[in-house]
Amino acid sequence: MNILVCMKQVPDTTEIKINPETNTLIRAGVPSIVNPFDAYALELAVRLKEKHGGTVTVLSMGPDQAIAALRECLSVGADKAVLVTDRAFGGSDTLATSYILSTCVKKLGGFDLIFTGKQAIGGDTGQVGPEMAEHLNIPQVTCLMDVEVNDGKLEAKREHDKGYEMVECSLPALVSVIKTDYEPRYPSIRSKMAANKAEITAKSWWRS
Amino acid sequence: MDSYAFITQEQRDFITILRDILDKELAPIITEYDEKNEYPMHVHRTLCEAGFNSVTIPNELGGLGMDMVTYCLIGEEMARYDAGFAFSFNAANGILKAVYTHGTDEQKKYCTDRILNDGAISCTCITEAEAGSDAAAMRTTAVRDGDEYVLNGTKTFISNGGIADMFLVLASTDRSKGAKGISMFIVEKRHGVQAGKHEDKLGIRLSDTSEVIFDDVRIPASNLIGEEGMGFKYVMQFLDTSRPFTMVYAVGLAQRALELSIKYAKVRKTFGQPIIANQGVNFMLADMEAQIQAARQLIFYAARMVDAGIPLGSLSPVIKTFASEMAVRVTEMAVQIHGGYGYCKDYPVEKLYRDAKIFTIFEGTNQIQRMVLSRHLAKRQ
Amino acid sequence: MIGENAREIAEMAIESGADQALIVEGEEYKTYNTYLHTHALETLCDKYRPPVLLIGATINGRDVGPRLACRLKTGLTADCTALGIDEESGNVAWTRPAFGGNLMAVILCPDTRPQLGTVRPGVFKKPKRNKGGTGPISVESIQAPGKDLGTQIMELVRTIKEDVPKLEEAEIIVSGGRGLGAPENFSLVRDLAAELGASVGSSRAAVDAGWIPYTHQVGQTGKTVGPKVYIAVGISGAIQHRAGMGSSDTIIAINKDPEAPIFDIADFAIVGDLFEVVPALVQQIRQSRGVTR
Repeated sequence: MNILVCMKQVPDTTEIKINPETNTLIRAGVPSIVNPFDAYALELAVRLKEKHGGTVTVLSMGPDQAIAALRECLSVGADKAVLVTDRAFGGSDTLATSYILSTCVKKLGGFDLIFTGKQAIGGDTGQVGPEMAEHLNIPQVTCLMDVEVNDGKLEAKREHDKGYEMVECSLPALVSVIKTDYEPRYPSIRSKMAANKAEITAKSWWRS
Repeated sequence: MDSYAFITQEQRDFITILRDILDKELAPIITEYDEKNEYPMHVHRTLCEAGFNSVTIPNELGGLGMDMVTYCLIGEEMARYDAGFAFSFNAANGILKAVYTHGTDEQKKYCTDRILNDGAISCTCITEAEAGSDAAAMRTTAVRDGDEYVLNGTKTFISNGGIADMFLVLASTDRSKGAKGISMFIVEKRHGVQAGKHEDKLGIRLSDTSEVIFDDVRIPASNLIGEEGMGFKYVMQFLDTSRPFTMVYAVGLAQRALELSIKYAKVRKTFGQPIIANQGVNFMLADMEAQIQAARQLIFYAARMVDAGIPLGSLSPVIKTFASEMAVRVTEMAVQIHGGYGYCKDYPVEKLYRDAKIFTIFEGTNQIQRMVLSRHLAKRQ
Repeated sequence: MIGENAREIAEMAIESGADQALIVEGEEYKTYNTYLHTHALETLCDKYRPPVLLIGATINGRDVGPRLACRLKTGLTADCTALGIDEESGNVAWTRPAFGGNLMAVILCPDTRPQLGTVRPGVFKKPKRNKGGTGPISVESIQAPGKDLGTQIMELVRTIKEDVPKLEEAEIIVSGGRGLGAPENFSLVRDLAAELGASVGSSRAAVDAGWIPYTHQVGQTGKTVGPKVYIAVGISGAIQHRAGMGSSDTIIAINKDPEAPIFDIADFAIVGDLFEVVPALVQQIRQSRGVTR
């Protein structure tokens, strides 16, 4: 299975400080992490790959520092990492972001399943995933807790107010993940070392 | 981490992985396991999966083949969470060091596979009820019978004794020769080893300390390491190099005590100001920092010597005495700084104070260390 | 309104103050389907050209909202907690929390229409129903966009047994954390919640330990709640939990660790053993209820 995981690097909310005068975020010196929901999404994706074979590619739109977050993803089971970056992307709203990411998906091509985290801590909108699905004209399942692939169809466990729903979905599809029953795995020393040495392609397709 | 100026990014990464795991898996259960007097096996397994049990195992045997400095950085960090856990987790080094130095290729591969692939827990069995400092007086025997040895005896105060799968055992093959009659063996639990009394200790309670009983335990003769009668000498050699690195746990422990004390002193107010403003308190903190750093750098220096193949000689007892006594002093000051609260189980410092004491006793008492050190000095020109 | 009980809900809406209602009924709309609902809303938007469209920020609302926004190439502001009109431009001023509620952002959608927003449930009070209220209810006939609907709900598994308000809408929440020690001790939390007619919440630690299902989780990777009263039992109050309940009106915390971060934001702090405090609290409430009868 050819799986894509969209990941966003976000500031660590345990370290968030608000400037009391300007009422804005102090970003300087705040460590960055992989968005927690994206970490769950990646764990689900890697488990699917381990079960069915294939590759997991992680895609992120962000500044160069997001490469560190992509390396973290490589150290916990992702096979390839791509950064799409351009000054012009700064200040994008969700529609722009989803458009950019969808264009990348088309360029990279051939994915059976796209994972996103439910929402990015910070923006907390939860919109990029569904908007990407719309751009790509594929079905979506949001608030996913677990997923299985059988006979070329997706079987998804989806959050519901009263419990959960079992949803069937055709492939290719996009899913957004809230929380799984499995904790994201820890990197091992070896996988960390390998991730540190890995080549991460930074794409700026608009330029080429 | 930032106390070692020559730390590499790679070493930082390992410590970050370690912290992540221990923050989530160990930190929340320390009090519980301290009360239960139990080793958290699930944390052990998680760390093994991440590769932390293979740090000093050579590359060619499937390990990470890292140097002693890296090992010490990792060990100190682990002990910052729990010194007893760190000590037990790294106990595999005993048997591995023994076979890597004196064992056959087959023995090296066997023990490494058991630890890396089977996740076997190991321990080193030397001490007996009547043979602690005077290890040569041990009474456990290993009698040759055809192509087997039969072991009989009881070992006491064995770290990991109650949970081990594999044992490095010192036993006498010829009691008439005293120290020169002691040999070293690899023994598996399935050979019939029994765990005896599980000690109810003052501190390092996450580390299992138990009696180990050998009652007509039969092992293949090929489980002898090196030559008969050389066991005691082998053990003295590697204890010499491993002792300092057990002390890195004392540094981690003391470091935690200092961090907690600084935090408390900034927050606790008396007479309208935080107690850290009082010289009586901040001088103690200054002393703690100075001593911890001194012990730490002494150990890292020794680690570099080991990596360079230079024998430690007199430095080994120096490190052992200095670092262990430092830990006891620092944790005592930590309790003092916390005042009444430091004496209560609600706060973590009383545990650190209890944990520290063992460091002056095990791995060769500080009295024995002074004896060894003074002999070194007497030999000097 | 799209769905099975569309007419019934339309009547409720008219009685609650809506000027008119549009309903889309039909067998195919019985359960939620992204493609169907997006298509239906798109059709209605094309027909009626509303300048503003509000959708409840429920699980399905936040599923269809962005899909629709992208299809209509317009802006969507998610999970709003306040709505207003920007005086200068006349645009809707959408207020929503960011960074787990640490920041409130005011968003405008100046150039495209409709202006879309999903509204956080439970924030605005339900208007009073005027039983006699009338207004036009028109039936919109909208065909499915095609045979392939992409997704299909196979079954619904109920795990929430209690007949209590959803966490996001609850006025009182009693939450349990790691301090409870074991899954059976959640009965203490449930007892207290039952006495108060409250909903039961949980910290992440208890969910991760498998003591209570994820639907009860309050916090950064769980639900964000803002009840009148939030009672935290045996919860240390890590910032990720506080991100989910920090905006509660009154916070009462019970924890035996005097250094627990939850006490930094608690209005009432009880430093004590929850196994003593909670039963005592339940007892007191029962007694006081007996007295006032």
